[in-house]
Amino acid sequence: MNWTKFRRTRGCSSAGAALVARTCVAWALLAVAAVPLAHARESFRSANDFDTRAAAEARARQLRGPSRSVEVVKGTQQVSVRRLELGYYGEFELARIVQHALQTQGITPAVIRRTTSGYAVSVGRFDRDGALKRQSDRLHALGYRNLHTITTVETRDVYRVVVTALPGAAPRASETSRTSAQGAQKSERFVYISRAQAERKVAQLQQQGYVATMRKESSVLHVKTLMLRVYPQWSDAKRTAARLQKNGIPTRVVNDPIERGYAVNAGAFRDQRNLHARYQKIRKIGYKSISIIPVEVSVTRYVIDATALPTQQAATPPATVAETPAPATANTESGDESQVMVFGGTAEALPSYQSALDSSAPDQAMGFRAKVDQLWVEAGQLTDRSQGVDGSYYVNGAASARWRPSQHWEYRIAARVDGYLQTGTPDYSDGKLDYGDTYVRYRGTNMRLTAGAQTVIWGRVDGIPPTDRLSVQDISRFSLDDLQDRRRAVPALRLESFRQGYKFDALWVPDFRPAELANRDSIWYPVDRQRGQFVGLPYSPLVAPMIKGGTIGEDDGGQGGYGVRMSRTGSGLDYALTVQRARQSLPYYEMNDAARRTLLATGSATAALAAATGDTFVARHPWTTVVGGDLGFESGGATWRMELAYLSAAPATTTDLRLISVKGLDWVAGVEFYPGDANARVNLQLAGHHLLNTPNIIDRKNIYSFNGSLENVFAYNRWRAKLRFSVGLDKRDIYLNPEIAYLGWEPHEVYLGMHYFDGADGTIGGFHKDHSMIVVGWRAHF
Amino acid sequence: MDSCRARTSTPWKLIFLSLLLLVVPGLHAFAAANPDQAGTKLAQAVYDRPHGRDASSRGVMLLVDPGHAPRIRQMYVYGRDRGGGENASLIRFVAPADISGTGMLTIDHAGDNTDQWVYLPALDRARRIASSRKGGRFVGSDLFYEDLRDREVSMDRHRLLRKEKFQGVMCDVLESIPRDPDNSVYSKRISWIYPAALIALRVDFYERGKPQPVKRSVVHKIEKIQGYWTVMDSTVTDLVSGHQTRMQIQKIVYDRGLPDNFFSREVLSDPTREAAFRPALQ
Repeated sequence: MNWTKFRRTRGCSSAGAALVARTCVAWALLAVAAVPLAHARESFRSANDFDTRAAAEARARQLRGPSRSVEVVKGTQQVSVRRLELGYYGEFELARIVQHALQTQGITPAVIRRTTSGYAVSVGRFDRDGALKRQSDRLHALGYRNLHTITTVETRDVYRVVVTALPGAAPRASETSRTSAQGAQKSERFVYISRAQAERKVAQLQQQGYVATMRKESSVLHVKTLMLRVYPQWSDAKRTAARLQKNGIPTRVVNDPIERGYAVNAGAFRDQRNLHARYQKIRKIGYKSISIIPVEVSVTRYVIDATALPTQQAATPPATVAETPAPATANTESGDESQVMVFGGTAEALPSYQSALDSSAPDQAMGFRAKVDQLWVEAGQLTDRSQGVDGSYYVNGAASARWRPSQHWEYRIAARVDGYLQTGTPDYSDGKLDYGDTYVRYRGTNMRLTAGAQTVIWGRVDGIPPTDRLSVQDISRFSLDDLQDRRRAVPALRLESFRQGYKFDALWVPDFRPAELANRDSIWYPVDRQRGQFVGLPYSPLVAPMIKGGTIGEDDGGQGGYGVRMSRTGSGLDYALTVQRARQSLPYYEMNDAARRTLLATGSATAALAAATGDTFVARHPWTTVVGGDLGFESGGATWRMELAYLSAAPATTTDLRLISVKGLDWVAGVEFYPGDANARVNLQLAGHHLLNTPNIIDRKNIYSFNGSLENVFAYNRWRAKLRFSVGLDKRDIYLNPEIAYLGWEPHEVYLGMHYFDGADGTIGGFHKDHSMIVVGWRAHF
Repeated sequence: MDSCRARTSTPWKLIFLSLLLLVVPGLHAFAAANPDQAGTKLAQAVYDRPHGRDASSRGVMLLVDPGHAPRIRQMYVYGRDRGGGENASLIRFVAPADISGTGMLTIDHAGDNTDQWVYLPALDRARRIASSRKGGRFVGSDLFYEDLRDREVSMDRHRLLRKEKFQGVMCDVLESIPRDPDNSVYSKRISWIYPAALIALRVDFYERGKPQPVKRSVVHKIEKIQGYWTVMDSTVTDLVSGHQTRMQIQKIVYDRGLPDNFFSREVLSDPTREAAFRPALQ
């Protein structure tokens, strides 16, 4: 199929020109393709041609009778044959290896052929499509992929049974007879747009005793195309095309590179009545924006003129395959032998791996997809059982379904289930079902709008981004997991807009969701009710009995907050600025005021507990205004990241146990590099937390820590060794998390690790110093 | 990934060894008396090969470790020559599941400046990473990060060693040694250039202090697609461990007019936007 040029005959938009051109040509060619169908006739086969003399003689014996003479005439005929080959191989020996492999696999007609491109292994010659396909499929099944076909015309011997009616005998219509053909030279014309088809037809005609001449012809067709409007998205155009097709209208979606859109071509017509009928039909379906675009299309066709000759002449046909050269075209992909080159035998030496390549699942970017996202099981054994608990176990499963009907819309629903088991004293088991990212998303030009439950993590640094204030923290396993596993989805409305390297991100959380906490009996709950201590605060003998004997309420009503973040990704430097009005996700505990006064006045926890009006403590999530920013750049072969957040109101507890708000400042500065320029990755961060202009409070006013991670993958990423750590700089506060994981069994991951805590009173490490544990786990992503 | 150097300015070219080359007039002049000059000329010819304004491809990496089941990395790779010496590329992994959706955006500016970001779908965050990294294995393959980066002709001293038959075709054998030993993890590369297409059919990589090559890249199949010779199938072998990385292009389309803003954080961090440009297999 070939075309050389096209020309628009009437004005269209310039954007539409290219589109029209392409589609008109394609459809005009379809119209041309109908021509041979109109001329084609069946039953050109002769039942009296045989490949062997023996077969012809046998047939002759059947036909002989008193009224006719029958003879076998040897002749030749030219047939179009397609040769199936493997290759090409640069060296003969490599072709020999492949040939040998083929022969051991039962492909016996494997012959090595030398070509200008190297050596090819020929695996059969076929004059019928079915046989060619069967052989091709067979080779594919064996893992061979470097197949190509070469079309040739071959001369073969043929033995024809010629029947001659004896004088006075009536010829039988069912027999191929010399007399039936004499004086009745029939001429036929066939037109094809495919050279291969035309060649096959020539061979077929010659086999039937015709003299067939093939020539190339270029001609101009005048057609009119029906074009529906340009859609910006392929899926929209496809939907329109599908609807038309349902109504019996063949359509084709075509690309318009100028407008970067897609149009629906609903046909090309040479006949005005057909055009009008199609036009009306489309309008009846409901599409009004239809363009009729006339075009001239220059096409190349293969014309075969066939003339039937008397039988004895056909036995030795003087057939020729004359080809009239057509004007040169730009199609450079017609040559079989010069377009593909195979070097070496390795391409065929790994057929067993081909199945692995073939089995790689096709990704589904569009449409519907439902799947299990993750399964995770972990068992932890505490190293110090003196405080009663000896084991902590965890299971997790997450699944999601997503539907993307078009480029614009996306619907997603996700759920997760978490199971917790703690053994020892206290023990408990708990299971929770929760939603994951469940939203409706609209994508427009340079923007994205998401409504529904979503996980949004702002900030730049690892682990503890200070400007990440609107996300929901998950501390049901404290901070044992990586950042992405320490956040939960929250219902929110988010608008993201992109403009020339800038991103404008706005988020509104209409309903506050507090941090996900562990069961109150869990060692990971932020309140130790056995010892009577809050995490992050020093032990107080005055308050401890209140915690042990009191109740804890939750203040989680109201809005969640809102914020904007403007970020820039540029050459050499990335940065972002953010302003947020947010509620603190983690709880901060406030003592009941009546209980507090009584406790301070009497020093008796019993009296204070009795005096409490309502819960003894309430978990508060105070509002704060956050102004912050972050930046990242590369220097000295390392990536540097910094982040800073100013808080207008950070909770604190005075020495007289009142909850107050003070100004706060959080910052992190980090560097990431690869020592020795190898596989190991090191991320080191300094972090600071400051409560500003504070009166007498029991909280730590300044906290400095050194944290980060060291990670090395080795044995070609089959193994990973990792260490996460956090060390207090102003006070003893240690967390270490070494881990070794086997990753070679994809998509599974098996790991062995440890969580080690130690620290002074009032630190996190100190709070959990009895909770160090060794863990073993299995995790898989799907 | 040849040293001579098939332009490595964008990973899509290197990952699949898409050394898209045309015969440069006057190559027979390589038999010049000065082998250094001839080598540099050959290296420049390979570097300057036409490769289209842009390319979109779907490919697979097969990691073959003796004694272990092969592992697959499946990805879409896009590249665009922005002109003025600037190139952009975007890689999106679609398999295995644990890295599915992960993307890598590289902007190679004129000169030696490069910006690189990786998109982590679990965090929904595009993260700047060190683009100067040379060592380290790319997704556990036998490719080092240096193999994905641009290496200009002038960074190496080139010498035409000899003509030699490789895989049945006569090749020009080219030696390339870094002028500054610190700017490469390799001490030397020897490339077998197929002069009819200016494609390196084989590259031997040497490391400092080791007389034998430590790694070898061999091309199995090239195909002319839209007029550009494309390496469709190749293998990189670690000659010490026997580990192999087989790379195959399943589909590649050139010159489809990828918009300039395709290579942006917006597309990097949204696989759905990128998916609209994925070349269909059928």
